Amino acid sequence: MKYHTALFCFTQLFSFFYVAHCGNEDRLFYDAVRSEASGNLDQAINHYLEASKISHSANLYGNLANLFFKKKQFGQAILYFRKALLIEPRNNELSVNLEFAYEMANTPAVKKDFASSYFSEKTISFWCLFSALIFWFGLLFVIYIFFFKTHRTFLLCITVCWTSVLGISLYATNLSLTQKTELNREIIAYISDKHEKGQQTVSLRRFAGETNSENTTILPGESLVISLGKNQINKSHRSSDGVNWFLVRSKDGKKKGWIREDEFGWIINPNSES
Amino acid sequence: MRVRRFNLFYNFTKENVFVLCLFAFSLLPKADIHGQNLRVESSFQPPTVTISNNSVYKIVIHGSQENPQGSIPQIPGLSISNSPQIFRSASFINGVPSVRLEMSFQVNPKIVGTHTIPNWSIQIGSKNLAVPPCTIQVLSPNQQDKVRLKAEEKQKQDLKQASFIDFVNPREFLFEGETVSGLLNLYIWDRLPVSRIERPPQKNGDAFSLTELKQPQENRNQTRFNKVYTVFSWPTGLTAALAGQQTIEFNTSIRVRVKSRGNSPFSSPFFNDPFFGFGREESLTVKSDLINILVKALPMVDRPDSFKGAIGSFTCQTKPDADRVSLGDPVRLIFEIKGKGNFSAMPAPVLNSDDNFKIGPPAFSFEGNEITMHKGKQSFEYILTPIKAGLINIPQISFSYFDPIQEKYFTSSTQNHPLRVDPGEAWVDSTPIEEEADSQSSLSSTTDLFQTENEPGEWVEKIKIENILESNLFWSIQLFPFFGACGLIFYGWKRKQSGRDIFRQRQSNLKKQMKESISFKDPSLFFRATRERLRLEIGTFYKHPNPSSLSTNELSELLEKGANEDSTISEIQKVLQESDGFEFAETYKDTRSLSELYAQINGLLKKIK
Repeated sequence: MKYHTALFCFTQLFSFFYVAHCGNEDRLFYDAVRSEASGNLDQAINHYLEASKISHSANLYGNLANLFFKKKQFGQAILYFRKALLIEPRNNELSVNLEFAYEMANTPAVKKDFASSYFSEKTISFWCLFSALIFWFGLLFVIYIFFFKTHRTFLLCITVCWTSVLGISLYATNLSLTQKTELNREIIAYISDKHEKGQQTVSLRRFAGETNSENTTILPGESLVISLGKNQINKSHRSSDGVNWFLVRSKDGKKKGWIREDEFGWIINPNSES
Repeated sequence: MRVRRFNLFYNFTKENVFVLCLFAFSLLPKADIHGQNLRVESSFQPPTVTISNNSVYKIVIHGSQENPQGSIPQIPGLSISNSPQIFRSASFINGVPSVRLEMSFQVNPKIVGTHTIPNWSIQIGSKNLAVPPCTIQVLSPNQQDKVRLKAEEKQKQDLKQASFIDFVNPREFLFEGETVSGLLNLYIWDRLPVSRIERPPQKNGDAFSLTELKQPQENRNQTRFNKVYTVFSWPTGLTAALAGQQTIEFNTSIRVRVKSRGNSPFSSPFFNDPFFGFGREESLTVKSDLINILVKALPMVDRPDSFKGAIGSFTCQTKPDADRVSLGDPVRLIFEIKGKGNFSAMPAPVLNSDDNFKIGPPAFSFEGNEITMHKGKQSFEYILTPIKAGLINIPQISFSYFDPIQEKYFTSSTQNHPLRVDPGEAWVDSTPIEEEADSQSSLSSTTDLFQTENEPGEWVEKIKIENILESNLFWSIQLFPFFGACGLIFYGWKRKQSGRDIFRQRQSNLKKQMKESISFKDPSLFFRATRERLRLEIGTFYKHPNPSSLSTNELSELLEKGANEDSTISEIQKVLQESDGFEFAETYKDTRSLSELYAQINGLLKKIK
């Protein structure tokens, strides 16, 4: 009897804590909305950031980006719009907001060239499916011609066409996979609280050190990609004062240098999301 | 006490090793006078020296001329040479032969006082001998030593004065990023027979950057240190890159004519007789003194937002090329910065498009000393396109700089320029239609932007791009076409196999019929079977879909398409015509027996290609 009572109490407690924990992100979200409504933007941002540590939603990141935009912190606004769009890529409102944030930040939006339009990370599933279809249909057709038809020239033509189309589709799949890998290393630069008041650019230093002279500067909201070091690991350095530095380059490869970890935000945070 | 090890047969280069002339010694016969006692003496000659003089540590081995091995003790305060002079001698003393070996080591005293080399041992052949201790007294330098040292110093100084580099820095200290115009002078004494300057001076030190050095200016008869020099001057811009106490030095190399190596001007510091123009050339490296320059960091206090790194003393102004234009006509606005400073590191002031103007990126131009880029006029030319009619103001440009003399930041703004824009034809944006459509949509929805969502929406555990390759369903579905392909291959293979079986079965049946007809002497059956067999084998050989439907002419055509010989084709045609003839006329005119014909047909079918 005692055993049953203990088991019952344990399950009740477990259920309570489970439900309480599950509701945390919702509670924080609603707290943030209330804080925003009452005009306390900083508190609202803190609530949203707390909620984002537990779970992710497009609306959460959209609201967070809106708040940063209102505070004229366009770098962070762009970062969170990008995050929101990763969760809901077809959300037109977020896309329009992002464009406007880019415009306000005077930051050139990521250029949509041929490769990034048709072979973007979002098209990876399409290209995989397309490659699979081309492979199997082509293979079945070639087998059919080989065993059931006697036209050798026709078989040769079909095989050449099939391998060509298959090669192109596999190349496209590879391009989109590369874009996806790059997205995992993509960051957005922003002006953090540690920067001097009025600073409008983020420095990319020549070496990983605070006192080092800058290689170049970038505008908040600009996309950067972490460079890879040996063993295909993100190239970083921990300075003597405990600050992590990352070697980055711009997407077009024209700008490069070291950036402090509090001067940017990950689009896909490697420590939590992946 | 450290001990020097030496080995005569190995390692000539190591420090603290006797470097003996092994080659010379190996040619000498080993001398060892049997019966003469081996004895070793050691002494300093002279035993008392002043610190600026050298002494000799001498070891004399009586009774052997063999090469000794051993370790000489290292004495603090004495620098003992590792290249001894060796002297062998042999003599008769009272009719008794005597040999000895002398080794002399140069000793350079470093510390005043009494120094003793303690007892140490050397090995001669298989015998160990003790080298007795020996003492040297090192005295303080006397007046003569001091005079000689002074003379040596003067010699060095005179050698340095033959040619040297001097950098004229106009400022006592610099600020980080500041550019100063300096003069780099290469002094060459007129009595130094220089044929050419091999390269312009180069700097050593990463804390500064230097502009490119072009052709130097030459100034003759410049007097310095009571000597007459020719001075080559390079104007240059020096920019401080790192804050702190920094050093910089310059070096170059010049080509000098000398008479011979033995009489090189480098061994004669006064160059009394340099033999102009006759002799060979040698390269001489000329260096400047190490220059210490303090580089201060730019102050953070009162740094304006518009400061972009301009350091110097400047004035600025704007000049539009028109004060009245039609809507859409471009206006050229020239922003000029005059003065002294780091023009090479000066970015263009930012001028953004607004409701009145569409502004493009500026064009740069510099007038002044383009070598140093320190003094002159920098112009930025902006193209402004008015997009609104009426009286509008050209936007002011705010320019901030740091004055290193006054050590203050200054901000100057240009004056207002009113511009009359007449309404002309509507200005059409040259950007693509796509972009226009995008901007329209964004403009139309601006009022609806940044609305707060009251519901969190769907929560996701991870932010990631969906990838079908990570889906098990995708890979599971691949099994269907895989099995389909496998099944198709199996079925096709079986079908091909069964087709071959049917062919073989029919072929054997027809052969059997032919043989039976021969035994029953039935030409009707023989020719029917023959024709069927020819159809089957020729049609199958040429992969005809339905061999049994082939006529005689079609069979002939197939044979002609192949690489068959004409005789083979004609003989097969003959057999086929006989078969046709027998079927319709039922007469067999050929004199050959059916069995011969059977053998011939078998042979013909094997020849088909």
